[in-house]
Amino acid sequence: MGLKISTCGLEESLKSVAKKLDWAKKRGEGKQRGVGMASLIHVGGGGRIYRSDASGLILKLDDFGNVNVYHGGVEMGQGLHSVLTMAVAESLGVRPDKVFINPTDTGTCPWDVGTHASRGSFMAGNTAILAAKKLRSQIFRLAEEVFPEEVHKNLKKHKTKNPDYEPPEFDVRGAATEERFELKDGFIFLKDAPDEPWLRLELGRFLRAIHFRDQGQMMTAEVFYDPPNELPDFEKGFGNISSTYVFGTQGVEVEVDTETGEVKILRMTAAHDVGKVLDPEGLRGQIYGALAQGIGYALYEELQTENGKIQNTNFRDYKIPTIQELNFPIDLEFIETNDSFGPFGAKGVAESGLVPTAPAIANAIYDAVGIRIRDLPITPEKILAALKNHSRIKR
Amino acid sequence: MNNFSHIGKKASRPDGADKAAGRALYIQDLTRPGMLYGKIKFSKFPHARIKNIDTLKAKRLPGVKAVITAYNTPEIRIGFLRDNFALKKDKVRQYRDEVAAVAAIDPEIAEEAADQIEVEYEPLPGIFSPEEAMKEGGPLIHEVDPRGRERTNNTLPLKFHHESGDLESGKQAAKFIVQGQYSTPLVQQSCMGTAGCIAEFDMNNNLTLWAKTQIPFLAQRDFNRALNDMGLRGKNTRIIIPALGGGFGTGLDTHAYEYIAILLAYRTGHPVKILYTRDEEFGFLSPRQSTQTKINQGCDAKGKLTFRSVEVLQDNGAYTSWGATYPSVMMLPATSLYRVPNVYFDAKLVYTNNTYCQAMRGYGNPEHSWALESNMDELAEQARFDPYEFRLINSNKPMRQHPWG
Repeated sequence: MGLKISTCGLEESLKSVAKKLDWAKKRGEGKQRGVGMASLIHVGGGGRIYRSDASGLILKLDDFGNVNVYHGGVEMGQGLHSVLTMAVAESLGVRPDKVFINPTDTGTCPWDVGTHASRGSFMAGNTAILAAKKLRSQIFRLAEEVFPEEVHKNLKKHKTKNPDYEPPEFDVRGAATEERFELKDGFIFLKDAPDEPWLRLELGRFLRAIHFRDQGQMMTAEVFYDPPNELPDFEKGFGNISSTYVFGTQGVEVEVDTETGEVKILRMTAAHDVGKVLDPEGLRGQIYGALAQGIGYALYEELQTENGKIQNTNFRDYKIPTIQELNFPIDLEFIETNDSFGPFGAKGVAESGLVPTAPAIANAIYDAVGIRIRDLPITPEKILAALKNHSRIKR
Repeated sequence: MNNFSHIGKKASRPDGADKAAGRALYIQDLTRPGMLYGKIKFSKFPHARIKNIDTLKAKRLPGVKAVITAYNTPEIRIGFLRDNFALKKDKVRQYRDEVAAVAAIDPEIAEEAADQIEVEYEPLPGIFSPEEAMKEGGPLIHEVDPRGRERTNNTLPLKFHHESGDLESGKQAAKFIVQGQYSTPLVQQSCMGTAGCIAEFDMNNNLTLWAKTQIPFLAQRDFNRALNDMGLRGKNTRIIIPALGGGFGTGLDTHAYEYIAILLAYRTGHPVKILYTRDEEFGFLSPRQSTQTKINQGCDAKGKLTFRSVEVLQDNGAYTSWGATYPSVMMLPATSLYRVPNVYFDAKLVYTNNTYCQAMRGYGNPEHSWALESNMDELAEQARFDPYEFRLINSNKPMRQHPWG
């Protein structure tokens, strides 16, 4: 089986970068300044390198309308729990501050293959949607009985406070069928009468009502989701390793100091087909971080070894970019292709920003001074040596 | 279009405030009652026979609770190809090989005790580049494979290969052809939080491990197998993940230091913590592989790609992690970023006495895109196309089956 591309925003990303870099004007401009670009494809819908690419999720509701989440994905600073919180709140219909993510623990969380291959948000989102759907249908089924009883109490209370209140002619019991309920912001109500103040039932109250009655019950939902992709045959070629793919293009403008060989980045632009923006700040953080790591890969980072022994074992001798090196504008554009496999349309984007950064910089250096470095990192020493060999320096 | 309440809107991070206030608990912050500190004695040679390990001085140091080597603990094989060991016996294959470990009541005593372990080596000739590793008749890094069969070369038994279309006809259809060779270095994942774990057994010999991992359930499987190797048949591992200061791929495998903490915890009956210093993290944690990539590709007069041929050589280092499967992802840009009808891809991985490598963010894709996207510009220039236009001409499109799919 071959690789199946669903949505693909590559062309849009190329056009975005060309426009934002002012490509037509800047390319070949000279003066030791240059622009370059590079594109990418990466897995965005899981990445099956193991016989299961699945992930599970449990939602457990308590007596107070809180949602406890148990998920095997790993938060390592990337913002997985922000997306998970948002996805649960959105798909269940509760406020995000009622969602509590429990620590990842093999004793309590359902199985997950691992947080890699940019799959964290993709899997968390899809499992949250499925689990919420299960819970909502359970809630709405039980609400057929509970809702009329509870809102009747509401009405009595409301009338006590507002003696002149005349309730509308409305047959609550008749209207209370499962398909007519809605749950939003932690309240159960009827789609037909969303605004009547007493015709609303807070989720916690509903949960207590079903808990503290004869043969009472609590509510949990568990799901297990294995995305529609394939374990490739690595010896023969390829299979559809991911259910969707991320595309993108990054551009950079550099200035090369021909005396010192130093490369100064003047600005960067990155256009990624992310499917759909979930957490805007988290997404920007992922791309900024990946760009920074890509700049390190392009210009600074290398473990020096001598007979197999690594020599530079601290951040003084092994240089990663700091705020000093990242002192330039970065223009991000997110192309929303609304992928049908992605949760809310989103693709995984944890790695993509790192992928084309180094070649975009190398291509810009070539445009600036006409030298092509083929081994990373592109150090000032390599640039000076190449400039020496290169008789024709653009001026 | 959906009308979302939360999706796409500014959100507050549930873990943000505690992390900003310094209240989140990382492995660095965690302690357990009665916890001991483990320290590993690493090899001083990249390739050598172990002649003798003298642990007497270390054992006599007050505060030391255990000193372990491969000679007084059960053998635990680890790694993607199970070609690595928690503690090394007979031979070391990289400068950072784990030859012994101690558990002590504080980190300073543990460090001193590790220093006092004396290891006698017989150095062997080392191999430090993939080219040397492939020379016939050179030293073998692994004399036998994990099943005990004799090995005759240093090439890994992992194949990543792809052919589609007809390379020769693609070459004939090309008006412009450019080839190039590109390389990428060893780089470190540079997590803010260094590696570490705490291993603790309960009285039923079940294990709890607080681990810096990205694969809790595959790790559980690995550690349960180790418990089995230790004679604790049917016992279970529970993995709990504390706050993590970055992963970037370092958590995709289980590591020797984790198995060593488990061995020390079992030997002493106390929880044992092993925490890497920054120096150890750089020196002894697996980095991103170095690669060499040869690309040969061509296009017709209209700028359409007609063929691409790719050969990758990857320095695996002395042992094999999941990261060895990088070429599985390299095949993605090689075949499917642009529409190219005739593709050849082959990757070769070889053992050397360099540090063994592991996954890092992008997993082969940054390595391959470095070569591919540099070469695309070179081919564009040769064919007299603007590199932007050249990409547009060849850009992949939505709703498309892969060229040979």
